Amino acid sequence: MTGWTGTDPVAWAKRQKRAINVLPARLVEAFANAMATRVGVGGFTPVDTGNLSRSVTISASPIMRDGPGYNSPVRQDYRAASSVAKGDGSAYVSYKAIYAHRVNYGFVGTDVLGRSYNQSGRGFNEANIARFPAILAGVVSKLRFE
Amino acid sequence: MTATTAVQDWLSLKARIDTLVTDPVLQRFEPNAVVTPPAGLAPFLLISDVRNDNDRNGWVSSDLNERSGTLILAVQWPLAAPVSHVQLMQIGGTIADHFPADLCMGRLRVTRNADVLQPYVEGAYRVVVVRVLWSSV
Repeated sequence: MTGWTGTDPVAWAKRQKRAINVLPARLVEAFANAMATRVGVGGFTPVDTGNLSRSVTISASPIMRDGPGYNSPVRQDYRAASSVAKGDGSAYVSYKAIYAHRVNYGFVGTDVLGRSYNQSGRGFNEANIARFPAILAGVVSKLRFE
Repeated sequence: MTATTAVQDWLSLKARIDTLVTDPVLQRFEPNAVVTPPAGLAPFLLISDVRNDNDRNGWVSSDLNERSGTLILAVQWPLAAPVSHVQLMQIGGTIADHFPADLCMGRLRVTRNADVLQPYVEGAYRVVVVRVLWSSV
């Protein structure tokens, strides 16, 4: 196009297409990072040993409570795992630690390992979900400049 | 000492919780309280006050800063005390009905009808969680 000095529409369209394609994975990765962020460093997830935070897992199907791999001490690579998120599919971000809902909703009593709990819920899951729109806006904002 | 906005929000929630009437009566434990389950296999209520990030709507100083949060009310019903699903849902529903959509508590407003979550068994208790979402400006 002779004399045209504005944005190349072909390049713009390519950028938009790429942004749409990578958005689901980026969003899942960002949300997993937020869920793993602990109290005291800008997050909501309570920390004692750090196991709860490290147990955040991205998967293509729901994680069942009695499934394998609970209390995994190794933090997942969220960038790699987020590839399960595709445009028209589903991805799940979960806390694998079996006691996660006890911490979230409160628990009074002793667990099978003999640990005593006496606490109301921390509600970190609700707080993370409430942060989701801001996380989405942040991811979209970054993609616009890539 | 003047109560901060954060404290005022909690006091508004607490004032509403204090007017809750249930059958049976539920002893209430506030956030971070040491929980001593009542004697005689009586059910009780754990209260959680969860705060979200503030949301600023606009860029000038006069614009609204919206606060929001979740009030979590968890009924703990001892497994040793027989209870039917109807009774569990009834007490959960009673609590939820106490926090209908658009209920105003001071500057707080309930943003939608409170949710009664699926009951589950945890340790020595059946648990019914009621979740109240609120926002405030």
